[in-house]
Amino acid sequence: MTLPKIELGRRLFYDQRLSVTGGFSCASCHEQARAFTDGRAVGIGATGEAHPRNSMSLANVAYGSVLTWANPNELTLEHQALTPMFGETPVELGLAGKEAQVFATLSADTTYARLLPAAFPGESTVTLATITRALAAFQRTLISGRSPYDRYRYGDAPNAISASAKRGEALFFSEAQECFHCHGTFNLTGATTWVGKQFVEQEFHNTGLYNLGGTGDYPSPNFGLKIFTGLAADMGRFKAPTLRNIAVTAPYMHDGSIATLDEVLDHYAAGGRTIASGPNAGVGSANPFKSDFLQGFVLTTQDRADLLAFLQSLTDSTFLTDTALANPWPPGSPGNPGGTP
Amino acid sequence: MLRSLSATVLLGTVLLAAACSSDESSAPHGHTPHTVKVFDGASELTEPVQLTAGQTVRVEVKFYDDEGGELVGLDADHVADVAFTPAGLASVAAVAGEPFQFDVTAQGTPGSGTFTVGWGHDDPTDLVFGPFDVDVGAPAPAAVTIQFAARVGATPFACGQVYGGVGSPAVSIAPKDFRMYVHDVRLVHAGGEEPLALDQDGTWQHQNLALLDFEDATGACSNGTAPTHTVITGQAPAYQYTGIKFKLGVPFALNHADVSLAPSPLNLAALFWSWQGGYKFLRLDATVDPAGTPVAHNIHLGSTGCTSSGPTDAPTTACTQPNVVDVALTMDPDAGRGGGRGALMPGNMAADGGAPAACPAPPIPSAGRSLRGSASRSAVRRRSPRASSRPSRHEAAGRAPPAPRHRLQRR
Repeated sequence: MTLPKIELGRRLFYDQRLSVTGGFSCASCHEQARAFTDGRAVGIGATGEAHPRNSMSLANVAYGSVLTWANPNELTLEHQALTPMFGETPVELGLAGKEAQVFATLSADTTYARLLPAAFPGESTVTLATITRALAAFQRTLISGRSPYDRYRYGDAPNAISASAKRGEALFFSEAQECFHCHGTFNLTGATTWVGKQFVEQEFHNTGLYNLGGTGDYPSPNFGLKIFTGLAADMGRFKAPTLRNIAVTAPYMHDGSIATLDEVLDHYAAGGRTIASGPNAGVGSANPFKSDFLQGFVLTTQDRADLLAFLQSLTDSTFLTDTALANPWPPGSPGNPGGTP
Repeated sequence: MLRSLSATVLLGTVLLAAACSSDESSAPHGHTPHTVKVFDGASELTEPVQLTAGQTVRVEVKFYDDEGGELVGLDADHVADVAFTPAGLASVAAVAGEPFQFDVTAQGTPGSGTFTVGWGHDDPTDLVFGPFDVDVGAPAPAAVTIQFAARVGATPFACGQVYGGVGSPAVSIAPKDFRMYVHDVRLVHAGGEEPLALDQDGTWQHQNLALLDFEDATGACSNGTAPTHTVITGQAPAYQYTGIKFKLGVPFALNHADVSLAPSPLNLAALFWSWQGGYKFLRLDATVDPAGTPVAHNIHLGSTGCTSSGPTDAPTTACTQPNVVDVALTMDPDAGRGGGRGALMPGNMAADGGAPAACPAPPIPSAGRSLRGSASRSAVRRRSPRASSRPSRHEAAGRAPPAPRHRLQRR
């Protein structure tokens, strides 16, 4: 982590030449104003292909012990970057087979020619190693910790959040609602690591979102952790995402199948979602692989408003507008031919 | 020093010389002791004589004439003894066939006093040497390893296993997690107990607290951590220990901190509730009837009745139910490993948590005071379907079948 490496990574993160079409970038699915999500149910790649899953927020991704919805094996951002760059099913950036061409194009760019030696002394060309390391460095600066809730909880502003949000916090951390069991730690997800921790804590949970045929199945291909372990009991187990900036990252769940936070509360209050008809019909609350913490609860109108107020207090507007994290390529410049702001 | 031992017996020597000359005019010349020395093997003991608490040393007393010559051949018609003041400072046992040798066992705790050496023809009171100063000191610290093992009944605990016949009525269970914090480990010997100074390994042990971790993240334990930790290591004086005591839980001073700033092993998200609630002292999660109609049966033991302005504020006064459990186990010091067992007793594992179950007969014999007695006084946070899962719940009995087995060995 050096300033030149971070700046190089920011350039790459927003650079549309880092795609098969030349008009798509990491930021196409990870927009700063949406806490680095895209507002869609599922991501749409450079070629228009739909990803099976929702684009995750990158807020505080540096602290993630799990980096994606269900992959327990991608443990570094350097490693993870390979998937969107070169993945073929689905195509995201679509760079498979285009490596040499893209590296040559970027190496010839005057901006990279200037940034590269400062970021990686002795390196004169853009390579896969320099790209992934620089992207990782930039992503590790995507720190969200200045929400009203942070000023209330960790700062010295006891009135930074409303009384309703404070009541919502109490509900969130209560044994009745159980939210914090999966959304714990400062990052509001148990899949979090930090300096000094001697153990890797990876957690995946089935929240009863589906129960196809009453056998616990989730719609293909989103089988969750089972994809990687092959274990039947891992069906539908996904990472609990951070709840920071959750109010601006709709729609929700691994497949974007819940549109609003209000409906998310319905899902958890019911202890799982029931889909009455159609190909995904099933009683999610009866999913045999569901987490023990999904017991359901009853919310009064006030409770619901309080929980929503708490979740909204997690929106870090500083993070969403910080120019240090914004697109450095002016519209019409080499990295931004499409004129994305 | 020899000099000081000799000097202190001069008065006794004079008295004895008078007695001897009148009673035994025909006795061989020079057999009357003038001084005494005490040996531990080849080493002469010097004042103050150092003994080690709880330990036995074989000493030999030797007598010398006024010219410093050792008196030999006294065995046939002379006797000696060693006596301590206070009497309990050390016990003295005669050595068969060796009238001038004694096994001296110091009391179990450090202390000081004196001893005398008696000598006589038929009764060791004709002449008394001493008193000589003696100190009973603590043994030097030694490395101690305490081995723990978890069992379900008699079967070793392991993630991925299914155990039948647990609780009443008997059900099968599949474990999902088993970790616990312990602190204030003390080793018990005849004269008292010694704190075990834990090795500060930066991972499992911090200050006087250690995490015992029996799950290895395999099978249904997959939300756990891969490494396990089934030993506690530290330093304690090398007494002959007969038992171990510790507290299950996290002390208040460590229990309500910021988990993201706390040292390992207190920075595990899975074992932390909140500043207000603190840590899960014991996490023992299982699925009942995993092959049939699975029911969650999760035990999370921690402090309850903790009050603060909010769930993410630390309490400044003790929780009304700390739920720190005192555990005391005995062990066989000669075997180097104890049979001490603490048993958490399974009750009705299949119960829905609505009503506390009565405490059934223990499935596992327990030595000494055990978790068996304490668990019934503890609030246990259980999480079962339909349970209200309120932290203030009190259960009549702990219901966790695996029992830690404890072994003490010096290494």
